[in-house]
Amino acid sequence: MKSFFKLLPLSAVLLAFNAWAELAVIVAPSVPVDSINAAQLERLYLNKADRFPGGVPLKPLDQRSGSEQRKTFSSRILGKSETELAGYWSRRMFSGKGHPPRIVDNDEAVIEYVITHPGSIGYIDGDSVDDRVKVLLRIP
Amino acid sequence: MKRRFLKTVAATLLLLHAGTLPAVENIQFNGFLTVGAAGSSDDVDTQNGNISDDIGFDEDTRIGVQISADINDRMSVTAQLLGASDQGQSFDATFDWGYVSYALGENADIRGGKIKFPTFLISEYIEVGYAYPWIRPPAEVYSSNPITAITGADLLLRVRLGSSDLLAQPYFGTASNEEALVPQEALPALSLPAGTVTYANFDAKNMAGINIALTGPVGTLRGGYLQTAVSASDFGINSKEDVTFWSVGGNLDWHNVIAYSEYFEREIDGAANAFFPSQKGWYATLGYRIGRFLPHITYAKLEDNNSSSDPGVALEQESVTGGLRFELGTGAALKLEVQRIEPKDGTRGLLISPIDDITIYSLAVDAIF
Repeated sequence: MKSFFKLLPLSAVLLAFNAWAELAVIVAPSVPVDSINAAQLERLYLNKADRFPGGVPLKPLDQRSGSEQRKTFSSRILGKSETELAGYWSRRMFSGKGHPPRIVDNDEAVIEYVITHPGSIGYIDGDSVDDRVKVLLRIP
Repeated sequence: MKRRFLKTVAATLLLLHAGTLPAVENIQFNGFLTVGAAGSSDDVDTQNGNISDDIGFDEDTRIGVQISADINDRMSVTAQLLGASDQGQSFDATFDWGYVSYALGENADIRGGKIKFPTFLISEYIEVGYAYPWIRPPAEVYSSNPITAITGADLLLRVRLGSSDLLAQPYFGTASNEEALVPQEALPALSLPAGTVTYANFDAKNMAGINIALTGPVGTLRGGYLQTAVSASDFGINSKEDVTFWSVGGNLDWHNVIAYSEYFEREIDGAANAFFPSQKGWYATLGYRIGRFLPHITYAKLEDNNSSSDPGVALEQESVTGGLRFELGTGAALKLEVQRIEPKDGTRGLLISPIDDITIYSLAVDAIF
């Protein structure tokens, strides 16, 4: 909560940055999936599906609340504000129907997690991509 | 019963903890809290005694913690600890429910234990005020089923239909030592003075039901049916009396429009009808989100569903509630409500004694953490 308020002015600056930031959706190179679309991503991230169509299980990772990456992903892929998402997860979680994605600290932590836990999927700033990971989708 | 259940859950969690150390990483704790004050315009309490003309915190104050742990790729355990403020009772926390879930496949889970089951749209998370617009869901509908969890099993079967998801949830179990508010009309037979708030224990056996819900991009439509047989030895109801209960409803979250509406009918046979009369009821809520504000209005009605030969005195009332929800950042909300209740047909409605009408003022803060 406290950090949410602290980040408000920062996120206002980052919103302007969002206009040209690109996100990359990444997995470990060993994951037998080569691309994913926005609708499939939305189902994974809202816990309406726990695997990629075709049967490959994928566990989603989120970035910190208030981060530029999280805001861009939530608005472009999930089409929900942070408040709407909090309401959505409170209904899912407390009825025992699933949890919000695991939260990791930053782009590097997402990369570390997906390569050490193949079967995870995450999103990072497009500029942070390197050859340790496979990009499934770029979100302009 | 509750204590034995708690021990079982605690033992299960301990066992899991000791047996599979890597699982520690996957234990999650999530909490919710509501602090609410309410007071009424006249000297007539609500039937559970929680709201009176002195401002009190009993009706809407509670705290809960949900614990969940993945045991392996297919199995998980979920349990909820709940402490609620209630008139004449201490703020004790008990395990409200807890179950083990096993994934039979991609689209099917089986769950066993004590399961919170969905009589209505928000029944499964009724204690989590943050999850819905009102301070408390309309009592004309939500107070009609005192059983909120069953000891048994259910199946969750999911089917994807285009951009929507269909859930079929059959369940079977029992509910033992449940508590139901003894209606004021039944007090003379128990030699208790009018105005006494007392709860009676009852058992529900062979409880079988199904819940079907279709969730799409803008909302959910659901329907449910359940049947059971109840006995309450405190009332001399030793034979099992049949109970049927069905409900339909839906909600909408479209652009900034929020709507909820539900309808139910319950039928209770034989000797149990005198204490738990057959009732039906419905409500409709409409709200419009303006930034962080959500003003909303609700009309609700509780009616008689008895046939002429039934002994029970059904309770009837209408209410109109105007409310405002204000988001306090992410994860907390402030709510204000004014509710006008009119008991009908000479009954006391859901109040402790008859009155023409009464107004209830409520304020609450909900948070999740």
